[in-house]
Parts: sequence; structure tokens; C-alpha cells
Amino acid sequence: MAILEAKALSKRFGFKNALSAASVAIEPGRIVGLLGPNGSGKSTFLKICNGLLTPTSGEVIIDGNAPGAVTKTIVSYLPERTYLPEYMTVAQIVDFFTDFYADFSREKAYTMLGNLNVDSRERLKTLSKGTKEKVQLILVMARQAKLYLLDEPIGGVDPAARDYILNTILKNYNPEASVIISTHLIADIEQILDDVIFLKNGEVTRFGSADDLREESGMSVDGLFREVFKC
Amino acid sequence: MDNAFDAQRPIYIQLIERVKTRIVSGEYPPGEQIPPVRELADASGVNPNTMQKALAELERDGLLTVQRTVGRFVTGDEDLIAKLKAELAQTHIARFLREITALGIDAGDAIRLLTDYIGRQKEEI
Amino acid sequence: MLGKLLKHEFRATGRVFLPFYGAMFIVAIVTRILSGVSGNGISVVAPQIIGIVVTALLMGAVCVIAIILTVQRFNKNLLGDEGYLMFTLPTSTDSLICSKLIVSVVWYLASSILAVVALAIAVPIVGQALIGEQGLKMVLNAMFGSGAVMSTLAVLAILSGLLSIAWFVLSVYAAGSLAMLSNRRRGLAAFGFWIAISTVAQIIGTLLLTWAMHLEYSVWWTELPETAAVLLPGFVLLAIMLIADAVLYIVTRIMLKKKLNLE
Repeated sequence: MAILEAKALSKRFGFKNALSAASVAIEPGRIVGLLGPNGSGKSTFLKICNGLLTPTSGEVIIDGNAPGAVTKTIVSYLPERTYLPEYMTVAQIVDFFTDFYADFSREKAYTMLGNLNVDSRERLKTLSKGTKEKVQLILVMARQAKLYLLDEPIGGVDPAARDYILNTILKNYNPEASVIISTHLIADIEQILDDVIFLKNGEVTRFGSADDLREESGMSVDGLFREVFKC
Repeated sequence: MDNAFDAQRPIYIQLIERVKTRIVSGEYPPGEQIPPVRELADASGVNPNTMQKALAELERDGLLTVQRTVGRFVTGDEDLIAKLKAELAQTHIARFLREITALGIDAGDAIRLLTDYIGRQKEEI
Repeated sequence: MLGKLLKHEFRATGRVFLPFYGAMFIVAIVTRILSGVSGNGISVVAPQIIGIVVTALLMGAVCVIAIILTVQRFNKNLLGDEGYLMFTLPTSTDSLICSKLIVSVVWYLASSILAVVALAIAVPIVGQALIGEQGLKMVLNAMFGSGAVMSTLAVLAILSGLLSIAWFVLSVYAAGSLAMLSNRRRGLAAFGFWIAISTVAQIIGTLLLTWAMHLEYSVWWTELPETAAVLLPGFVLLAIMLIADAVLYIVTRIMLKKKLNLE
């Protein structure tokens, strides 16, 4: 059974169609790139999967359920922004996640924090932006979820950190879980993608395996993207 | 992630080429076990699914064999490996000739240049 | 889940309140010490007056903080960036709302009670009055020691009091939630909605009151047994507050569940 199935998902804000009849089905064990320019509906799509927005029409089913308290136990979401309470220390936010998520692993979190030399006694407020983003990613990846939704995980991060993040995503690969990475920095991540979704003006214009796309077009996914989304 | 993959060609095909090279060069000796998918994928910085696809094709070609619960092994068929070596050699030679003739050098000159170069290399040792 | 949310909410708000409570009590105790152990009255000495004034200011501050925190916790933690954290937790919307509601009400009560206690410490006369024969004991006796009717009325009064604190908190929540309908200047929209809610409540309240006044003179009222006549208004008031609170709660819930739009 598909771990995520979107059926004709649409979302309208006022007069703007953020998403139009988006339909995709994602099998477990896939790393999927959700690719599109800014404003193409990527964040909207992910927010609906999270239950942070309700669709105007259509539906999304995650592991057999509509987004709600049940899906939230198996979905691990990394928003595009800094979203953690600033006054907390790293240790406190780790405790928080341990408290609320049964599938959260403290050991994993502390190992990764150690790798990045993050002092768990520091308040989030005092960390640099890059470090904060790494901490947020660590918290998300320390969960044993069935679906990871990462909204622009590598934007605004230095290349070394980028490598670390992509490595972490690969290391955490689990054939029963899937990862959706939304980004517009395609060249950096296309190597790790199984499948690719092209989102243009809220519509799914392509959905297929990255290697198939390369074979058909003779181009890299990045190259194909530039062609499809030429201004 | 700078493992020098050409993003314009399917990655799994490039992975196949890499493994073939290692078999032919003896890095993965005949009959010996190769590392598990996860390890290979990690080391190359690619998705385990992509690596899996590459290895599956190598199995179909008979270059790898699978022993359930143990792992993947390079074939013991040394003739097959020799044939692969010849094939790969042809590919490299073809490429060399393509590139050298694109410089306007004909095949005969190319052979002479090659022999001279190898001779010089031997002298320097 | 509600328990965990409550714990987290108390921690987050406690770190603001406890220092103020601490300061309030320290000043109160210092004031008391300054007024001398022989204090039965307030000797008019400058430090004591300053002490009393500062205590009073801190009491006021603590109450104001309770109000500010009600607004801030809801808007910042649920509708701001932190909302991305809170609304992706595997909890129900009800738990999220109730955890904040309960914690707010508790702090209001705590602040009021502790403020009076601080005053009692700072100003000996007040302290005496509270503890003495004419003070707290008398009030409690009157409320619960003079028969079932009075006790029932007392309980109704306390419950109504709690519900009206809840009303204030829920009006902030409903206003904040409704403000999500607007795409810009949500702060202003929230304030606007709050004024609207309060105004509507006032109007309805006045209408009900006017109707109730007329009631006193109608026949069926005078035919009620005395106990019922005394208790009925109490129950009716409670019911009205309950309904009012429920309306605001439902509005908040619907907005957060179906119309969530974090920015």
C-alpha cells in the first residue's frame, strides 16, 4: 500500500490556486524530490499532508488515514523556518520530543548532536542560524517515522553541512519509510533521489523515477528542471 | 556529495560501470563476497534503491550471485570476467581513439605516439 | 497527551510568573520587617510606605502579566512559528486548547490569591483582618456554615467566577483564532474581533438582565417556593456562562481544526 496518496488535491487561497488537482502515490522506501520554483505549491502540499492546512477539495491519505492525530505519530516534519521555542535549551527540546513522540530516539539525537559539536546546554536563542537548522533536522531524523517531510532542508546551509544533511538522510534510509524533500536546489540533491515530482503553478507536471527521467531526456534532473521551468 | 557522478546519465548505470571496473581490476576478486547494499550506497553517496537496481542488473548479467541471508558474491566464472575485461577495454580504447582523432591525429600516428609514451614511462622507472 | 501539554505549558509560563511571585513576596516580607515586630498599626515611616507601594505595584504587575501571558501564549505558541511544532504533535486540537485554558485560569487564581497573601504579609492590619475573627473565617462560615441553600449559592458563585475567568481567556482565544481569516495585520484583526465579541456579549448580557428584571414581577416567579426562587438565578447564571463559554470554545476549535492557516 502506498504510504502517501494524494488524490486531486487542491487548495485555493482567495483567488489563487496554490494547488490544482495534484495526484501522486508514493511507495514506502522511496526518497522523493518535490521540485518546483518558489510559489509552486510545494510548502502548501507538505502542510496539507501535515494537517496544517485543510484542502479545498481532494484528499490525501497517509498510511491509510487522513491527516490527524494518528498520522502525526508516523509523520516527521521539518518546516522551512525556525519553529522551536527560543528560550529552550537543546537538551530541553530533546526532552520535549522524547515526551511527545514514542518513536523518538534520544541516543540517536545526542549522537548526531555530538557529531556536530552542539552543546546541549546552549539555549536555541544563542545558536547560529545554520546550527539551529541542523538541530531541527536532527530532531526530525531522530524519529523512526514512516514518512519524513522535509521542506527546503538544505537552503541557506553551507556545503559541508549540506553534505552532512544528505548523508544523514541516506544513513537513516529505511525500506518501510519514505522521505519527501522539497527544494529548488536540485543539483545538490539529485544524486540521492529515487523519484521526482515536478510542481508547476500548483500542478504536478511530472512524476517518475529520476533515472528514467535521465534516460528519456538525456539530461540531469537539474537540467530538465531548468528547461521545464524556463522563465 | 561530490562523488563525480554525471547527473546527465542514469546513476544506476554509472554504478554498474563502477562495480564492473572493480571486478575486472580484482578489487572484488572472483568468488569473494562484496559489501552489502547499504555500505556500498553509503560509500558512494547514493540512494540504496539505486544501488540495489545496479546490483540486480549485475546479477542478471551473471556477474554477481546472491546467497540468501549471506550476501552477494562475485561470480567464480573467470571466463566471464575475462570477457568483461575485454569489453571494458574496448570501451576505453574506443573512447581514446575518438578523442585522439578529434584532435586530427590519425590511427597510425596514434599507435606510434602510444608506443613512444609507454617506452618513455618504462625508462623513467 | 493533555498531561504532557499541561506540564510543558506550566513550565513555559512558570518561568515568567515565579520570579515575579518571588519578588512580590520578598518585598512584602522586607516591608513587614521594616514596620517592626510590634506592628499592630502602620507606623508612618517612609520605607514602609515605599515597601507597601512596591508590593502593591507588584501585585498589579502580576495580574497584568497573567492577562498578557494569556494573549501571548496563545498567539505566539499556537498561531506563530511555534505553531508548526504544536500542531504537528500527535495530540488533538482539544488538548491544545484545554491545556492553555486550564493553565491560564490556574495562574489567574494563583495570582489573585498570592497577591492578597503578599498584601497580608506587607500590611499587618490586613493580615490580622484576614486571619482574625472578622476575616476569612467569618466569610467562610457565612458561605458554607449556614445551611444548604447558602452553601449551594456559594458553590454556584465560585463556579460562575471560574467560568467568567474562562470567558475572558476564551474570548482572547476566539478572537485570535478568528483573526486567521485575515491575511494581513492579524494583530489588529484579533483586537477587532475581541472588541466585537465583548460588545456582543455585553449586549446579550444586558438584554438578558432586562428580561430577568421583568421576570420578578410575573406570576410564576412569585409562586415558586422560596428556596427555588433564591437558587434559580444562580443556576441560570451558571447555565448562561456555560453556554457562552461553550460558544467561544467551539468557535476556537473550529477555526483551529478546519481553518488553520499559520503564517
